Amino acid sequence: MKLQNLAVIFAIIIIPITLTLSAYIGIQIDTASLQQSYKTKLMDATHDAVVAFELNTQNNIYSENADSLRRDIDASVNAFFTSLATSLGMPGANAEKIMPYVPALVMTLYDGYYIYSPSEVTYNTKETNEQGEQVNTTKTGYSHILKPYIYYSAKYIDPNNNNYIVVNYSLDSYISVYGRIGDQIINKSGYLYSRFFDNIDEGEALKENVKYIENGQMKTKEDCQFVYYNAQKIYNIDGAWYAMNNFEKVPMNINLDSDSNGNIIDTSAKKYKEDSLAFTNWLKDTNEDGMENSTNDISSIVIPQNAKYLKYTGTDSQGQPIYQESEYEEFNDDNTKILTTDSEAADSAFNQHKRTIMQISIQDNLNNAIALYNKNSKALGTDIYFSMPKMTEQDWDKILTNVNFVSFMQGLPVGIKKFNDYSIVTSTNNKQYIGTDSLYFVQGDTYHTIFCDDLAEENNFIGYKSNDFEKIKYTVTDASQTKQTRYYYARKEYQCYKCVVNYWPGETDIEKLTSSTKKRKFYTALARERYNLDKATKIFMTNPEDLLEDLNI
Amino acid sequence: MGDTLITVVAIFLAAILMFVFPLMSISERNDDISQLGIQTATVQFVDNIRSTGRITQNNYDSFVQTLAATGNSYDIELEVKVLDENPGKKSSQAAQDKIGENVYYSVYTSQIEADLIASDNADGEPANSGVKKLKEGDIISCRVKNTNTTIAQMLKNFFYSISGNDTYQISAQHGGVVMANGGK
Repeated sequence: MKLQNLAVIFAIIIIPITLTLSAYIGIQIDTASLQQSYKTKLMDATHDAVVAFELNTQNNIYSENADSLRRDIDASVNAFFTSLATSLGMPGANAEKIMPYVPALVMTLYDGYYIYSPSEVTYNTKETNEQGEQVNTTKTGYSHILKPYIYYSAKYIDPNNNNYIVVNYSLDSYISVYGRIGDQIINKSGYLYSRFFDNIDEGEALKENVKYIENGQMKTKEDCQFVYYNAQKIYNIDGAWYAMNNFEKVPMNINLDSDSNGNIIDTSAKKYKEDSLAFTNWLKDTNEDGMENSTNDISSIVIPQNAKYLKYTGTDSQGQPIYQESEYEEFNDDNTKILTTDSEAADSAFNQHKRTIMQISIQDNLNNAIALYNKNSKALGTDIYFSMPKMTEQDWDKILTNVNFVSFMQGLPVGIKKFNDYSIVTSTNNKQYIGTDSLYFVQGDTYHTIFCDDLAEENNFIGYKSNDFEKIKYTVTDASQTKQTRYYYARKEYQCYKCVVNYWPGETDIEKLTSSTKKRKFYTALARERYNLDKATKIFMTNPEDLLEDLNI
Repeated sequence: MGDTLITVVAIFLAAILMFVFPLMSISERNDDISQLGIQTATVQFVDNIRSTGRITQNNYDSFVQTLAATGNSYDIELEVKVLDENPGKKSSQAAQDKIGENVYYSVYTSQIEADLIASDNADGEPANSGVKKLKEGDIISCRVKNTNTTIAQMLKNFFYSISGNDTYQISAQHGGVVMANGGK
């Protein structure tokens, strides 16, 4: 055979093989890169939803009202779909085309969560019947709606009698307990006592900048003293105390606490400690309020009995620390103790039990939402099979300890596969929940995190929550009757470059802090902010009798 | 004479068809697979930083190893734009209808790698325990380019050379806003 024939035959065989290989590899490359890009777009859209939520609740003075919060959540969901549709190249009204591919969105909040997923809805339409007339009919269909708020709650039943307890949990140690023991109906809520709050300041002098309207003009008072009363800030303007209602002054005539010099101080931290101690004692006390005949001690459910803890007694020959079990003692800063049953410790029995309850609740309801969607997906215009993805331990850790937005997206075609993924984004700057890294400490004209070396212990410093450092919006109407939006900062301090602008690189575990002053200030600020949290569904801890007494009635 | 010329041309053509052409197309496919590999690795690395807020020595090392597993050597450029809100706050306090004049200052690859090395300073400064922490609002971007000459590049250079000293065949880049504070 001639050489060139051989070559041509070789080429004829090799070229189709090469072309097929290229095409196949090209498809694989497209699939993988499209999948990555969708995952990134999903994460970006989820982040946009969280930012929208933070912006809306920051400027919404009614955000502690549950209905108003629903409106903010609706706005966040809208932001999510708009952002996702735009990044996928389907702007405008086409955002609705994305909805069939999103089986559920979950917004976890302080003491429960919202799910946004398709559900059966009835609506009225006009139809033409056999006689050709227009009649009103009701039809059922499926569309995405925001489901009612679901609390993290668990019911404990005593099988021997009719006693039952329902406990509502939250992200920190606030619980609501209600049920029936014997003949008594019980109904109480509060924080669980923790040894970490044994050593806190009795009272603090709090200050911030405030704007208010007087005689039609917007005025500013810098470094205005304020105290917390019933979770609201009450400002001292010109000697009298006012609450702020959309920048209008509301006079408050209440009794306030003062220190030994007669200066008015804020005692929320002390009240937090006393209330949590009273609540925890009520839980453990079996001789009070009709719990005499109880065979189910509530405290054994929420706090293990005979709380023991591990006391640090030194190191062994290899330098490993040795711990010894011992009974309750006064919390002393000189000894390093690890409290395994204190409700503030992450690995306490209370926290582990609470997390199990929360995880089961979210998983069950999500499963139901997605299964319902599957059953009726044809009505929504798609025939993809949806399933609940298995989330990792780290994901659950994130979900159960923060305010989050979780989004699922399934069924988008990518090359030869279908896209199936989820995204979790945490909201760190909101009024719902005070985490241990949401507190900043003001010293001079900068603010720091508690771990910063520049935070000198000798000088006085006070902690405020990170939300207090955000800018606040207000509108003014100028001479030509146009409304203008202005912004002001309630706190004028600047960020410390060592610890806030550049995230503090050293140790950030509060339990490993060695300075007792810093710990005291930290827990005082945490107690005060927790006591005055804007909870959408909070049952105020102030007793009615105290409230009447404060109002001089 | 004519026959010999034709034969030489035929052999030359045969050589090209049988050896060079398949080699070129297969090696370009090889480069495409490497491209996919590093694109995936880069996107995963950056998205992980965005969602956790931290760059750890472990993550960075496994990223470098994944890149090396494609058989080429790469030049990695990391850039972190750290958000500084103090100038924005100062300008807002002066003129109350202005917001957001924030400043981003950049931190580059060698500085980041120096931060990642776990060490304790002599004066007892805080130990960078193999982690660089970022805060919400910072921007991270990563760009990877190959520095060796792949087989496809060699073959292409044989036929036509591309002028310029910054030629690369395989590259990937990704970036985005950090969404979480790199706490504990």
